[in-house]
Amino acid sequence: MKKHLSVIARLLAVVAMISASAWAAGSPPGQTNAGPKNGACLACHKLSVLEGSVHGKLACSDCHALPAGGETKDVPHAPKRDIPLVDCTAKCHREDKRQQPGLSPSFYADSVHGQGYLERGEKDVAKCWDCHGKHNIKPVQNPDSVVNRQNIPLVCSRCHENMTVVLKYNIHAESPYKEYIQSVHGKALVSKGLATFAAVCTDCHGVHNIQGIGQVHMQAKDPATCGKCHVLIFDEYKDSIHGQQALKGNVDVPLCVDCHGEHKVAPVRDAASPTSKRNVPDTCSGCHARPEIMKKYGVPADRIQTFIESFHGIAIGLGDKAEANCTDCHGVHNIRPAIDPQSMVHSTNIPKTCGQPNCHPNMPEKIAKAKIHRESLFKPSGTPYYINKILLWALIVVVAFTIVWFLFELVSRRRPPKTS
Amino acid sequence: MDEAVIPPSLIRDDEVFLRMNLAERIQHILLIVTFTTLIITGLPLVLYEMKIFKALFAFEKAFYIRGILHRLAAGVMIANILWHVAYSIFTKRGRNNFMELMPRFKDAKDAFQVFWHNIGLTGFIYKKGLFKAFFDKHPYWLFKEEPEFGRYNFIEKFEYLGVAWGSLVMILSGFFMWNVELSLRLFPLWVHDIFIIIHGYEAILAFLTIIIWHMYNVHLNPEVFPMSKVWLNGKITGHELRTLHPLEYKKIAEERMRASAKTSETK
Repeated sequence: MKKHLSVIARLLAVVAMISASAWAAGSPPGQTNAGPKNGACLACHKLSVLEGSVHGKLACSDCHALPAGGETKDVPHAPKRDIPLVDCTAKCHREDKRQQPGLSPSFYADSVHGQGYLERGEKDVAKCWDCHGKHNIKPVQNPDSVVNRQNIPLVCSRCHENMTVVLKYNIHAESPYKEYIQSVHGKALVSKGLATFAAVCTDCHGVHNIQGIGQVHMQAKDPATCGKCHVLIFDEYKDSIHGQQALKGNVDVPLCVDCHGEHKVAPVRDAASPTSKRNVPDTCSGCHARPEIMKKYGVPADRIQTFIESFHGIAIGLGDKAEANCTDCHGVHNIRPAIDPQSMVHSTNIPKTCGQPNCHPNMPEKIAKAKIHRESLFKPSGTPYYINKILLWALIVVVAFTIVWFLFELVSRRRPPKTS
Repeated sequence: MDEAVIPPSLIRDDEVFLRMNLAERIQHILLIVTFTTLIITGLPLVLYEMKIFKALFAFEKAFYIRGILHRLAAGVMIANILWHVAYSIFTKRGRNNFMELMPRFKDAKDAFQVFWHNIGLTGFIYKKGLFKAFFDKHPYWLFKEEPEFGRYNFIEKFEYLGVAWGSLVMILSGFFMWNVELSLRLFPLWVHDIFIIIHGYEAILAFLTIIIWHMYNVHLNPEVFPMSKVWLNGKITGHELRTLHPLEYKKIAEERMRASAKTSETK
């Protein structure tokens, strides 16, 4: 049905063009090219939106070049497929890269979108007008502009929430908009209305220079990107063992997004957040329970297992919120190795770390010498291991004996009663 | 001490004896309530990987409430134990019960005898005609008869002493787990680990002992099925006394015979 309608619409357009050409033939020459004098085009192309557009004063032909030899007054002009696509950087929008990074349209050619469109000729990747609009282009500061900050997530979602696009280009985020809207950033924008403050897509991904996930140091994953707003946390992070390595370009270490998530960044108090009290051990185990990574950096791979079996770990596993998880002792953004005197788990700092007001305020100093992550239950060393084994076997023997006892007791009850 | 000496009229089958008085029954009920609370609020920490326990802690403050309940129940249980200790020291009945509960060599013999009686292996061998001369000479090894029990049989003594020992272990280890800072001030960390391990195993052991031994004896046991009501009304009949606690039955009968002899003398 839609197809039929569009065919009819095209036929009508052709009829309109023919009649317009008849009108244009009668108009004075020299006026067809001037900005406000787009009458010849507008006669057919009813584009009232142009009036509010920043491009309202331009001539149609400034953007829409006709194929070689074509004249504006030739009506009907060449069919659409023969008209070269608009190139916004051909005459205008060619500011050099001295502008704020990524803001200049000149970055587009190297972006994931630009490469798709310019190099591979993909038709459905974002081109200038897919984001900025075609004829109704408004200043970015105007809240009605499609690329005004408050509208950006919606604009991106037009393609990035479309499963066809997601599958075609194998985009790893399947519904970034839906996730974003639930995130702290999305809520700040939508519920709290922090239009200039809340991070929108372009703040992390860049504007014209958006990179694909394959890029090792893509902007959206770069801690410095988050650090643009989260300044003090970035300061803390970059001195941490993770941050130091991250800034050297080591991609093994956790970047902000590895712990906090990407589009769905949630606050710590949200139980489903990867940084919630209960989920932190899981989040850390993404690396710290993987022997191949831990071996590389000389960190024991059983840190998560020993935690889970500890009293703190059991309580966290059962949903306690008061108990210590990884970050309560090791720090959050300021995690440092235990040999670093500034580390929360350096032996000189352990009494203070354990003795936090909500934890063990009267913890004796000698805790500094104790080994906290203990394999007491599964490594054959130390008294606790053997006591555990002995008690386990004692329990098994008692239960086995009891079962034998009652088996015979029940059998003997089934014998005929004594006649006495 | 022949049965023939006791005339049946001395203790009627429907005569009611007080096996548990009110104080003992309240102590027992307090023990049930605190024990159950402690098990429910404590076992999830031992068997923390079981899904059923994770479900138990589904709501927001569950774990916090668990801790409060566990300590509260522990406090009540300790108070109950202190009461029982005082009761066992300062009342005649309490002292008597306590002495009756003390294990003797007879209890080990009884357990041995009951075990082989239930298995019935030697009786089976005898019936097959094997070792006939040996069994005719030593009929004890046939384990034909079940032993006669006094006021408390060896299972009841075992359970009582189990509770006593278990309570001691649990209170000590639990106290140091409750006051971890004090514990670490006094002991190295590995000793504290042992407290945690012991507290967990003793909990499972106590739980299984109660579920298997005690529940069998007071519920499933055909002699009392579906439930012995002693813990509610404290009463036991002369018939039950004669069949379940024959030695105590005889003791009471003898006392009465002596008393009646005395009264007839004074007459």
